[in-house]
Amino acid sequence: MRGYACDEAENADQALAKLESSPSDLVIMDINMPGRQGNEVLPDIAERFPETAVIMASGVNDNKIIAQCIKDGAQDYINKPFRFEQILTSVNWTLDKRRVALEIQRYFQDMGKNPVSRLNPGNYFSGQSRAS
Amino acid sequence: MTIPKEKILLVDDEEALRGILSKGFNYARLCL
Repeated sequence: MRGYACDEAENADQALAKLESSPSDLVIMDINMPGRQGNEVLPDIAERFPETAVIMASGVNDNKIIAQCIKDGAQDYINKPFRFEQILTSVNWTLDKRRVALEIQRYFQDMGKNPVSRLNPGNYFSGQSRAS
Repeated sequence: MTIPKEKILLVDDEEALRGILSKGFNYARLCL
């Protein structure tokens, strides 16, 4: 398996600042963090960085919170403690989907069609756009 | 053609995760 380029942020504010200065393809984020919680900042990331996919990784095992994270734009939710195979499968699958969504978006843009330009590749589960 | 590495931002997460994702699955196996 190939490796990925990784960067780190200590909290939500630092994550937003890093995404602003140097966009990432994928964010893997905990829920319980110092400062703003991961599930609080998730809608901000989905709206401000629609081409960035998000996976939540947390020990929180509350179905309502998990469902809300998916509604808010997370592509997957991984429970701690981690299993290596689970993480790698989720990351590979999420980035594959993102690649395809971006290709489709570029295709429609090249065709001069606009509706898909509002597509948020991060929200292909729901088919909804956050960038409207 | 070389495909550039995709970039992952880890927010408040474990150091082991960075090693796994940056070096790949074989590295993870070596850690076990």
